[in-house]
Amino acid sequence: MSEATGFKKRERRRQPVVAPGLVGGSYKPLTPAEMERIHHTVLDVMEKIGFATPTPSLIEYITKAGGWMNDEGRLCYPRALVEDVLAKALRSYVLPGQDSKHNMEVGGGRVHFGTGGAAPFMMDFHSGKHRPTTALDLFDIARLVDTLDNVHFFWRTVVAGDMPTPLDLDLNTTYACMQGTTKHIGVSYVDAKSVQTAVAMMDMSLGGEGEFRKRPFCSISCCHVVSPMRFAQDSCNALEAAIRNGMPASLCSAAQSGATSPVTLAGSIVQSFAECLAGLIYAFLIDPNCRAYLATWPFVSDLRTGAMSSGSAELGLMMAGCGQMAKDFYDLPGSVAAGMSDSKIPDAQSGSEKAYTLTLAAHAGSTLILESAGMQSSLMSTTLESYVIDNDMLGAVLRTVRGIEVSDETLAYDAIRDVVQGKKGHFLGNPQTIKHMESDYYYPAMGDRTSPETWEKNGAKDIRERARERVREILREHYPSHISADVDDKIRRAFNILLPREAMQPDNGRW
Amino acid sequence: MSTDKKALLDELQQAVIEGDGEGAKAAAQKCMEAGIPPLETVEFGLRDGLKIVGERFEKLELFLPDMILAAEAGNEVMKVLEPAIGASNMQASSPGTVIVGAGKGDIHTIGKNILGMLFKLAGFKVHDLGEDVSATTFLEEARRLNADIIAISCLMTSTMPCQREVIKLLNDVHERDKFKVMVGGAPVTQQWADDIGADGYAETAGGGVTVALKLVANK
Repeated sequence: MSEATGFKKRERRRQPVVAPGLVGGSYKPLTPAEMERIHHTVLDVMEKIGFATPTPSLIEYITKAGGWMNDEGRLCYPRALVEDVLAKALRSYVLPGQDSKHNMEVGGGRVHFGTGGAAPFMMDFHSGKHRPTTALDLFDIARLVDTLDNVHFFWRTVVAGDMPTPLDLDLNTTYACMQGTTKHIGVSYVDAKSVQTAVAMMDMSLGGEGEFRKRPFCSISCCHVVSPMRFAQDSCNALEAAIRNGMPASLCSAAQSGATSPVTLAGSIVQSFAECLAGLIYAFLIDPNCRAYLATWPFVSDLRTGAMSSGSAELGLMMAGCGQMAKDFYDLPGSVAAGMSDSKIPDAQSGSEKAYTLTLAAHAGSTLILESAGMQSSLMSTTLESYVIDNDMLGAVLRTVRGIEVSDETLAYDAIRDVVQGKKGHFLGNPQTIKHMESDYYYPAMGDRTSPETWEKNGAKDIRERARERVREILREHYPSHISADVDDKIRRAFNILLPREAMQPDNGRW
Repeated sequence: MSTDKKALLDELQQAVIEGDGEGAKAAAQKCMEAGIPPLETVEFGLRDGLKIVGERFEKLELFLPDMILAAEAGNEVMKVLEPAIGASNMQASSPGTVIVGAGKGDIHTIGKNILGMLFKLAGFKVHDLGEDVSATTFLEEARRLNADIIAISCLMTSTMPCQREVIKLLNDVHERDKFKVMVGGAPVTQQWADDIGADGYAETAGGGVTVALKLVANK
């Protein structure tokens, strides 16, 4: 509306409809008494059952703090130790990106969405067939996600299957992620040496030794336990190295209910917390200021076949229960996994599975929600189109987390009165409509809202076809350049980087 | 077959299908007391029962835990029958010897354990090498036991290369033809199996038994 038309210039809010860190927590699948009972069972499990195959370092730390090895050779955590660490661990902190605009303040029910991993296959963008994934795929996915506003951090989503050794895999995975996006990244490391090598590379990318500690933009994705209740020794050693290097740590327990954790949802939540707390206490004893967070991921087995199901109602419920426990009961940062589908392609099954699991997890106030974009086939594969489609869904879910603001202004008595008493008979030109229409409504980029006639005229495309076009546009154009060529040269001289530079630049022939 | 005999074998079969270990054990004892040759009991009571379990599992009528319970009931039956089979000097026909193990670096064992159990019930002689098994150990044990099949399980993409290593080692020592190699585990595919030159792959443990039977038949 310009002044020339005789209208007053209207106020028009331009702030984003949704943002990272909106506070969730209105969905509470557990009552306070139920959370209390879960916690007491967690304490019992940690103290009376204990954990098999601890490393010498774990035994030393935990026994010095009051724990013991029981007669079956399992490491037991006394409740006093657990309660003590629960009281003292950091309640909130920043997980930084390489670019500080992507810093996330985690904890307190502030909801952040990110990807998770890791799929060994993807549906090839060109052939439509499933094939093993490579380091270059990972780089392409990282830069795709770099452009998607509602995906706030990037865990490596695929396995760089073309890397010859575990160290090459970890190092090149880190490299592909940090080159592809300035968001906080997450990578798994096989052992302590892998962690140290990756930290040295990230130090170099940030300008020198000790810089990563100041801006630890990469989390270790650490599966320190193999369910049920058994430590994975190499991962525990990697975890210790990560904590000593100031690397944030995701302490993940990913049991499958009915197979490697109890079939009951509450029992799986119990075991998840026991397993994750065992790691958190270890990390805390190494460094009380560590940024280590619980990654309680109770997955679901389809007990008809034993296959993992990642898109089930029960998974959504359990993740929400874990999110609620982390936020309301423990008041600790934690991650859950939601937004995965068992469907191979982003179809109707995929859309519904992703949407209901994510909605539950987000509304429970989970502060880090992983696997929320791109993941198909029960985490066995990914498709590029899925990221773009899921970004729309994440925006919509975040909008629902933001909720309904109720104030004198939003109750809109004046607007109703003005319109009803006025001559126009509608709200379309009302100042309040102009003011709120962009700040209060989430508009999907991929979702189609046209009439059937227009849709047919435009080629009757479904969302996958529209998403394909968008993927191609992004991957043709978006080549992040936050790491200078000089620094990259230095990195390539010092480390065994196996991604060819020309393949990481425009006009590489892939898009 | 007499009606009484058939009734007893049916009882055993039914107990196995229902995963009723106690019932299966009792039924096996009754079969023994009735003088049914133990190998017949295995063939027509136990294996036929497990076959039905397998078929109903494929149709999603029975769940995985049902199959596990049936296999465990099967083990109970074998405990009753094995001494008699041994004493009578009869050789239960075995399709072959399999060694199973989770590959180097892998400590996920549930899938491998289920596979071992099903192999055993299909009559294979099974030697379980456990977890985190190196290529050298696979080779040495295969030699020592004169195995027909080496079955390697990997749950993680990071441990899958171990399957390739075993095959490479067998080639290096010129013993590739002596053993059939089967690979499995969640991230493993037919494509991977073909790429590394494995002889057999199946998505499920039940499928693995079928593949193994074919492999030894063609050996």
